[in-house]
Amino acid sequence: MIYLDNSATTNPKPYNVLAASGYAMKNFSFNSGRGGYGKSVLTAERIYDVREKISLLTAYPAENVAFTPNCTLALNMAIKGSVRQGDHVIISSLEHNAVSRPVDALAQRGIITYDIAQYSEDSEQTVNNFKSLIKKNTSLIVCMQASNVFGCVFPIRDIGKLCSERGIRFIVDAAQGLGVLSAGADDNIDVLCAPGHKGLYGPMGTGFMAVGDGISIETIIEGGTGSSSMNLEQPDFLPDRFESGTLNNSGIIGLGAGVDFVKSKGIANIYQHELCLVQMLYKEMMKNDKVILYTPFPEKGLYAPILSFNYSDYGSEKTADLLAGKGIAVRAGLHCAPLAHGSFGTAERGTVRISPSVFTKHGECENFLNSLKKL
Amino acid sequence: MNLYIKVGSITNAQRGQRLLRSKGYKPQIKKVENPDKTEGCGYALEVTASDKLPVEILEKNKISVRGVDVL
Repeated sequence: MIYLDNSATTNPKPYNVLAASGYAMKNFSFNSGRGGYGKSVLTAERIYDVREKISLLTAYPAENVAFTPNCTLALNMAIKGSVRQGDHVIISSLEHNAVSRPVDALAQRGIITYDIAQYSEDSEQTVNNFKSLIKKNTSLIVCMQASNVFGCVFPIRDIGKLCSERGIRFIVDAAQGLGVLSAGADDNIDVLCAPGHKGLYGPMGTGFMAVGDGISIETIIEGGTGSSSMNLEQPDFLPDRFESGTLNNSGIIGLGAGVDFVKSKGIANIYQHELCLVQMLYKEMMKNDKVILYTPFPEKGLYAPILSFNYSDYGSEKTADLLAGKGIAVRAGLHCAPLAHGSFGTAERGTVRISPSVFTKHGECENFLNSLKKL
Repeated sequence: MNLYIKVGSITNAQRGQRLLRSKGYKPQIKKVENPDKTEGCGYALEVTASDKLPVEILEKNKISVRGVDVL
């Protein structure tokens, strides 16, 4: 199989991730932060190692990294825990449902109002679009680092600066960014949410929320943390505040190995490799008059290595099905991002999405192109 | 003397352990044996020191110290 669905989850996972997860399952299946016996404490040390690795990657303090089962839960915790009755929120026009649904649910419940800032090819215009929607009661801006459908990169540093200047909290969904692009506290991001299983090459069922110092977030999930147990109130310190229940030790330790892998390759090198493949695909697909592309040429820095297209008048699912028949795995449909399809005029049939990983070979992309010619 | 420094969570204990190790101490993480009735479960660092400097180091680095026993 030629796997070009790495935006959904990277596959294969690096050998060191497989080894670390397996080793952890065997040797660290003890409840960290609960017991006082050696194995429990040692397990907690390995978990803390991963907090430190993510801290080095994102510049948030290690103890401010709270592990979650995925990016969606991290975003729900960050968004719902950040707003109060009467607040105004701004999101981008390309958001994934992981952001747009929680925000819309808050609006449906009468807690907040929200507006949608249009993405523009011109980064400055994108920032201005956010700026123009700011109201007196705007308390929160939530924005993706890169579109999971079209690859468009948002100027998060500039949006972060705007938020910082206006005293607005800034939450970033780094689901399609982290690992191919950098993001962190230095970008004025108050809360960074990311999956572990995409650009960081960790196991599925991992994610995290990294919180800036001094950022207060209410909880939406409470429970046992192994700390302050007599107190019925959820701990006010991190990461316990956001880590109720038993952690996914083998997943988290595997994620740590994934971060090691990414750092050993270098984020810039991974990005360069994947973007070169996408640029080559783009150029070749432009020559096929049955292929419809929706974005300009994916220039470095402006696009994540993700490409959406359609073929002739086929529905996106039909195209993906035909490619699957030729042993090529791609994602079709709306990609859980109806706002993005609304913005690009593709809501009716969705798109077919190609997303390589660091393991994707040039020859595999050529095979894909040849298969596309024979659809 | 042996200091028994209550720090609340396992993460605080680990931060404290790494910090004190970097200063030449050899702290051990222990589960709090006799939890405060208002506090409940938690973790402590047991460290041999000639004074209470380890406590100051922890506090200086914003690690919440919830009590110190001298053993």
